[in-house]
Amino acid sequence: MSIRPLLLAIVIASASAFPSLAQESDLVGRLVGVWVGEGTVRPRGFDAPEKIRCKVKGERMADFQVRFAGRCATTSGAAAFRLRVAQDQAGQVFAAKIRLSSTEADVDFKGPRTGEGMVLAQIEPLEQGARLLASEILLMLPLNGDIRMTNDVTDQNSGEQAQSLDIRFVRQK
Amino acid sequence: MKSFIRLILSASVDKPFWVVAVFAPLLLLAVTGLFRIDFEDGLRTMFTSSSEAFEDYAAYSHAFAQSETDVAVLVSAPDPLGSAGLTTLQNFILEAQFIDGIGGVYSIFSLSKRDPETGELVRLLPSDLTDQPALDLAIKLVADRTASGISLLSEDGRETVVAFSMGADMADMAGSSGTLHNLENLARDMSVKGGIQFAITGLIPIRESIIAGLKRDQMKINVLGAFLGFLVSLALFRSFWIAFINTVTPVTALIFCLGAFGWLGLSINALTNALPVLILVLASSDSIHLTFEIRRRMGRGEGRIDAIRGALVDIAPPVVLTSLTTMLAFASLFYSSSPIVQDLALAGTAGVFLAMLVVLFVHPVVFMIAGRFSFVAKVLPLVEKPNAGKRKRMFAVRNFRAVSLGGIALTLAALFILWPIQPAYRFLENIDEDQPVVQILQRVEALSGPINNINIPLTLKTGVAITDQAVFDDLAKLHAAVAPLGGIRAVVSLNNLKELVSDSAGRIDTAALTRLLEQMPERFRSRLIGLSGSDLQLVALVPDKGSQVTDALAAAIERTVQSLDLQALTAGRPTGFLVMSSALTDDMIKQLTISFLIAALACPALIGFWYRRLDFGLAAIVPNILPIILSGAVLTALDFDIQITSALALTIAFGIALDDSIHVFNRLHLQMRQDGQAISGPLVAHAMSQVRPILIVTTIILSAGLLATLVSEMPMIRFFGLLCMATFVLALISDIVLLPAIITWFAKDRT
Repeated sequence: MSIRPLLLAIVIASASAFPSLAQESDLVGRLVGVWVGEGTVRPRGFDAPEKIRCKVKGERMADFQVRFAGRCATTSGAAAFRLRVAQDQAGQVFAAKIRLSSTEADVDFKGPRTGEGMVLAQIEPLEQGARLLASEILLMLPLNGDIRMTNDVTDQNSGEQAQSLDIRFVRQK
Repeated sequence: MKSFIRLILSASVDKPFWVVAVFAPLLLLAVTGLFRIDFEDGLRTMFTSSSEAFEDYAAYSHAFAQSETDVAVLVSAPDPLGSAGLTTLQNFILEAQFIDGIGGVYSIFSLSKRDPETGELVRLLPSDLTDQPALDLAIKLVADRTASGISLLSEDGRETVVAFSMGADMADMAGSSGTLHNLENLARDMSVKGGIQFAITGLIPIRESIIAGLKRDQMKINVLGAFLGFLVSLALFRSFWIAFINTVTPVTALIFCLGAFGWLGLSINALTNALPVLILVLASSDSIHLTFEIRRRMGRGEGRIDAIRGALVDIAPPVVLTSLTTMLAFASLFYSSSPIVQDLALAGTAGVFLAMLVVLFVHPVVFMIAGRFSFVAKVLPLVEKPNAGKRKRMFAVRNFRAVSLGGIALTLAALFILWPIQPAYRFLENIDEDQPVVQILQRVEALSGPINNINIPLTLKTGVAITDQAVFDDLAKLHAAVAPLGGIRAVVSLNNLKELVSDSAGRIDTAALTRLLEQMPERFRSRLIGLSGSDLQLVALVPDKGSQVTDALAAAIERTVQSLDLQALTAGRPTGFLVMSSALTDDMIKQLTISFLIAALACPALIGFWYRRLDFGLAAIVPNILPIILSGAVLTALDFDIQITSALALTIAFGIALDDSIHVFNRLHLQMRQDGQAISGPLVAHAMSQVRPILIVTTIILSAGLLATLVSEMPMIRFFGLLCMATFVLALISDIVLLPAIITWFAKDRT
């Protein structure tokens, strides 16, 4: 008896029972779909939190590159939102550009994988009024689950820290 | 004229089926034009001109974002807004901002206070709406927050207002219509789900409501007008088939007119709304004159074809002349600089011309074809009463001097009463106050202040920056001087943000001001600071009490502002839509008065030229001006002001009222030719006895058709219809009493 059919059966069985290697490594691909997110935001980093709602669509732009864009609204205004995120083939290193229409400039991030997500650190801190702020985004992408995005900001001058964003995105059918 | 009549005869009488073959495709083309008709309120373009007031407004409109495109949502709850209610409201505000075209939002969630310790701005309402003690405290702060007498939350806490501004690219009706529709759907869904009512209002929803009313009006008024014309015709002629024949031509003319609207790209708007039904009744009137003459001739024993030929020879000239005078009345409106009035002039002139062609070519064909059927043919001949045609003496002819002088005296007296009449314009004059969108607007205005405003543009003097203390000192002076003026509900400017951006010593914290301005939605920020970033404005919120009140208030504001010694700012002339429309209403009415005078001189001149008789031209003046002036005098006596619609109605009604006079002149002309006599008292009396019944019938038909305007959803169209009907009735009385007296006075033989 040839061992080949048996091996094939084992491979098929394991593929259905566990995420494939491709799924496992293609973390950014999990952003693909239509999402509605809700949570809180501190628009200027350290101000009072406000409720935020986002409606976004994740679209694959290339292999290992996804555009996650839409619109976010708070009770005091709304703005377009765009996250472009790319990863290496192994799914261990990530780079992202985030644009809010009010700033009209991409802000660059990069960082490593952490479990089922990624940690994206802002490359250059940004001036926000009297503060010099650096952001660190934690984007958790559990397979077939909700996405959670948090953003911790640090005032580079004072060392003060705050969570400026916490949104949970639910996939829409 | 003779060759034109020959053309009609050779076509409509000799080859009726050829006329059908030509008109049928044209009719189909007209029907397809119906689907191309565009509806607009026309209120934005009504005042477009090169006037100083409009130039000021145009410059201001480019410099600042406009509040005219704001949509206000009145949120009302059965109980004071608490955690659950505010959560529903929060959801509504969040969802609404995903609608394409929404450019900004302002609500109780936007209200901030300055943290005395950090100097940062913090929202009054907490993000956690379940924290009841914090929420209670915040709601109290919101309720206490009134900006110069305007508030976002009612005293009982049950009502609040949310203002949405449209995006800059959604500033016109066409662009904002979809956005408004989606917002209405969201409001409806949320009202059902949340137990809180969301009701939408604002100038754009009102304009949408007016446009929806225009569409329904066209269907209702025209169908009812045709039906009423048929009913009256049925009652007067006591024959279904004659009533039917009298309805076919006007309905055909109506379809041609509406089709022309579609193909010429003319829109149905607040002014042209009544035009189709006017065309319908004018075509009815001309058709009845032809019907009457054909039947009279058949009653005297003439054959059907001879009767139609004879009627056309006798009646086509006055039909052409009445159409020309009505076209002249419409064309006189070209004197107005308003694009919307010029559109009415073009549509009216073209519509009357088309109606004339339809009456002259189609009505004989209808008789030619219908007369072939025996059940129609037998009811056509009109058997006149034995005493008809007898020459009777007539009071107006016997007492021509007294009647004429009485008419002239009445005209002068009416003119004396009419003289002080004042022009008036209100944006809301085109919609009924009991419409939900208006009632909601009234509730919103009661809570959050008027949506109308008077704007005073302010320019920074050289070397001055917006954040300079001197700018705020000047703004404070302006507020203190303008706010107490009567009729102003509140004054808004950058100064209203002062308490949020001042330190404990009252000095402006430039950084805080910059942050606050950055946080504001761009559409709201550019109401305070011009789009260029170097202009400011002072906004006086005022209710729309009509153009006279606005004119007076704008003048008072200008005087007050100019008397101030401002250090950092230079104040411009008060402007804005309200000021501009109020200032130009007076100009528009003056232009329409000149249009009327042009028509009043040109039409009698045309009549005189047409008949080559100076006496006809002169005799037409007083009997036709009298009904107009008398209508105006009655309006003045009843304390009505003259709106643009009234001025238009009177000018157009003059053109139509002349029709009766022309038929009198035509009958006299025919009688003189038949008798070979010059004009005399008996001849006038005889002609009047012949023409009087038909004048009464056509006036009844005209008025009955215009009765349909009373079902209009636009108050001004109902008023237009009433004014026209009153003028037609007065014109009838004038034509059967005053006109024969004046003609007799001009005659050499008055015996």
